[in-house]
Amino acid sequence: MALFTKAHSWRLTPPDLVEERDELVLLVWGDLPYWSVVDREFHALLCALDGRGLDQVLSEQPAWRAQRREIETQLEVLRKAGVFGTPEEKTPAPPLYGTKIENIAINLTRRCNLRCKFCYNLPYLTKDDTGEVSAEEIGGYLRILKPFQAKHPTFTVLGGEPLLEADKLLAACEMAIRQGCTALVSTNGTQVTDDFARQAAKLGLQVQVSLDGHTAKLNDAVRGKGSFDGTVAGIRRLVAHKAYTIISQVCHRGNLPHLGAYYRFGQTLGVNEVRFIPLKCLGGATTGEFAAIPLDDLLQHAFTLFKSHPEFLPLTGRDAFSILATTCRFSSRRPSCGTGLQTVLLDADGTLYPCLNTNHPAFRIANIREPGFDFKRTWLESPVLTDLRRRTVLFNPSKHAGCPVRYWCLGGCRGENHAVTGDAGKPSPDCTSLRRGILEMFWMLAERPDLAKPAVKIC
Amino acid sequence: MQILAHSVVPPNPVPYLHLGYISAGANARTTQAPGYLFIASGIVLSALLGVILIRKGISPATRRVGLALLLVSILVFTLSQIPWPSRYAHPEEASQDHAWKVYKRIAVTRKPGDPIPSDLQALSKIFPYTKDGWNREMHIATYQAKGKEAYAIISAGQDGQFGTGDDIAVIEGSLSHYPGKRRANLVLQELTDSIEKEK
Repeated sequence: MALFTKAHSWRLTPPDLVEERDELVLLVWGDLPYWSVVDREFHALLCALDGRGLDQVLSEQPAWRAQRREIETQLEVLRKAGVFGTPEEKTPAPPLYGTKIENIAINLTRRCNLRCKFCYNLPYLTKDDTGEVSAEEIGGYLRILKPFQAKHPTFTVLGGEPLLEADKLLAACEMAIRQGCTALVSTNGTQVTDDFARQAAKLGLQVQVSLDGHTAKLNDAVRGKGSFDGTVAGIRRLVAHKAYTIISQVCHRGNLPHLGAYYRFGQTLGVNEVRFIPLKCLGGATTGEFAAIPLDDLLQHAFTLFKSHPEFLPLTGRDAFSILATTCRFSSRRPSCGTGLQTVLLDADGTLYPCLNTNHPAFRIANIREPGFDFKRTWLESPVLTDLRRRTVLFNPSKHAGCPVRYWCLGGCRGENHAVTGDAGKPSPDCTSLRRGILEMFWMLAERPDLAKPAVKIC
Repeated sequence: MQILAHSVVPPNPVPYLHLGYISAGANARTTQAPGYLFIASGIVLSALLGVILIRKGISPATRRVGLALLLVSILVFTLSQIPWPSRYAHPEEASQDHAWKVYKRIAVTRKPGDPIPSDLQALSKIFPYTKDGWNREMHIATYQAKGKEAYAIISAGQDGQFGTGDDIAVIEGSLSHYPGKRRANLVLQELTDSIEKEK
C-alpha cells in the first residue's frame, strides 16, 4: 500500500508551459499557480518519474542514485507546491467574495493647474469647484467603509491636483491614517509649500510626485512648459522637510532610454523612492501621442539597468519591475485583478467607481450623496459591480482559462481593456507582451533574485 | 540537478471558497439528461419501495410489486454506473482542451530519446482525454519543425473527417507553447509552413 502511495505521488501534473533556454527549463503550472526553473537533468528526472517510484527511477540511473538526498529535497519542494497529482484533479477557483478592500482611492478635486497629456483623469478635469466632496463627507465615507477594508489598506489621494485643496487633503489623510491606512498623495509637485511638506512629514503622508523625465525637455513635453522647475522645487521642499518622497515617471518610448539618468536624478534629489510605470492607454493617453512600451521591453530595460547599477536598488520598491517581481515570486490565486473587489474609487463629485482606472460613466456604482445611500448594499448588490466582477474573474471560461500566466497577469488593467476594446472583461490588448514579460520575469528571478525588492503595496 | 528558482506560497494565503474550477472545454459538459433521469428515477422508486415494504399487512401481490420495484431500482443503479459517452455543449472547445491535455501528457511523460508514439491507443487505456468533443478518437501526427521531430494532436472536427478544414489540432509552434495559440485549422502537409509563417 505504501509503495502504491509513493508511486502515485510522483506523477507529475503536466505543466501548462515548458520553455527551454540554454541548459535550463522553465515549467509553469497555470492552475496552481506555480513556476519553477530547473536544469535539464532535473527535468529529465521529472519526465522519468511518470508515476513510478523514485527507487525504480534511480535504479535505472546510477548517476542520479548518488544524488538521492538532494533529489528528494528538491522533489519535496515540488510536492509541496502541488505539482504531483493526477491531471484530472480540478483545482478549486479562488473566492470572488470575502476579500477586503485593499486600496481606497479618492479624487479629491477635479481641478488641476496642469494639463498633462496622458493624465488618467484628463477628460474629467474642470476649471472650477463643481461641488466637490468635503473633508467631512470623506470622513463619513471612510467610517462606513471600515467594516469592508483590509487590516492595513492604502489610502491614495489623486485628482486633479490634490494640493489645490491642501487642508482638505491633510484632514482626509489624517482620518485615513487613524483608521489604519497608509496614506499616499499623488501630486504634480508644483503646489508644495514648506508648510505642507512639514505637515506631510509630521503626519507620515507619502508624497508621490509625478516627474516625467530628468530634464525640463522630457518632462515639459508631457506636463507643460515650465512645470519641471516648479516640480523639482516642490520635491526639494519635501526632501528638506523629510517627508517621504517618491518621484514617479510614466514610461513611454521617448523617455525609456533615460531611465538610468532618471534614477541618478532621484539619487541627486535625495528622494526615498524612484518609481516608473508603463504608459496605459487611458484618459489622455488614448490619443496615441506617446508610444507605449511593451511590458517585456520595459522589464528587460530595467533588468539591465539594475544589473549594471545596483546602487539604484535602494530606490526601488513600487516600480513596475518590483511590483511584477513580487507578484511573480508568489503562487497566489487571486480571483481577479481586484477591481471592484479590493479597490474602490470615490470621485470628487461623490460618485463611486470600482478603481482608479475604471473612472468611466460605464462603471458608475453609486453616489455617496444619494438619499438613503447604503454602502453595504451597494458593495454587495450593485449591478455594475456584479457585472464587472463576473466579467473580470480569472476563471471566466470564455476569457483567460488555459493561459498559463493568468494568476500573475490578472488580466492586465481592466480600465485599459475597457478603454481600448470597450469590454473590461476582455484580455488585455497587450496580452502577448504581458505574457512574455511575465515569463521573462520568471527567467530574471532565476538569474538574479537579488534584484527584486519586495514591492510596496499600492494600487 | 536542481531547482534554480520557483514561486512560493505567500505567507498569508487568501482563504478560498470551493466554487469548482471552470475551465473552457473540460467542464463544458452540459448534456447530462440520462444521468439526471436515472438519479430522479432512483429517488422515486426508492421512495415507493420504502412505503410499500414498511407498511404492515400488505398483500402478497403488493409485495411482488415492491420486489419488482426493488429489482428495477437495482437495474437503474447498475445502468447509472455505466460511463456513458460525454456530450459537450461546445464540442470544439472540449476537443481543443482534450487535445491540449493529450499533447502535454505526452510532452511530460516522454523520456528523452524516446520516439513519439505513432498512435494514442496505449495512452487511451490510462488517460481519459484521448477522445474529442464528439467522442471520436483523436490522432497523433508527427512532422519535422526546424529539423526536430515534433507532433500534433488532431481531432477530426465536426464532420468527423481528417484533413478537412474543420480539423482541430494542437501543435508545438516553438519551444514555448501557449494555449492561446494551440488551435489551428489546417491541412497536415502545410503544418510546417504554418508554423514558419506564424513565427
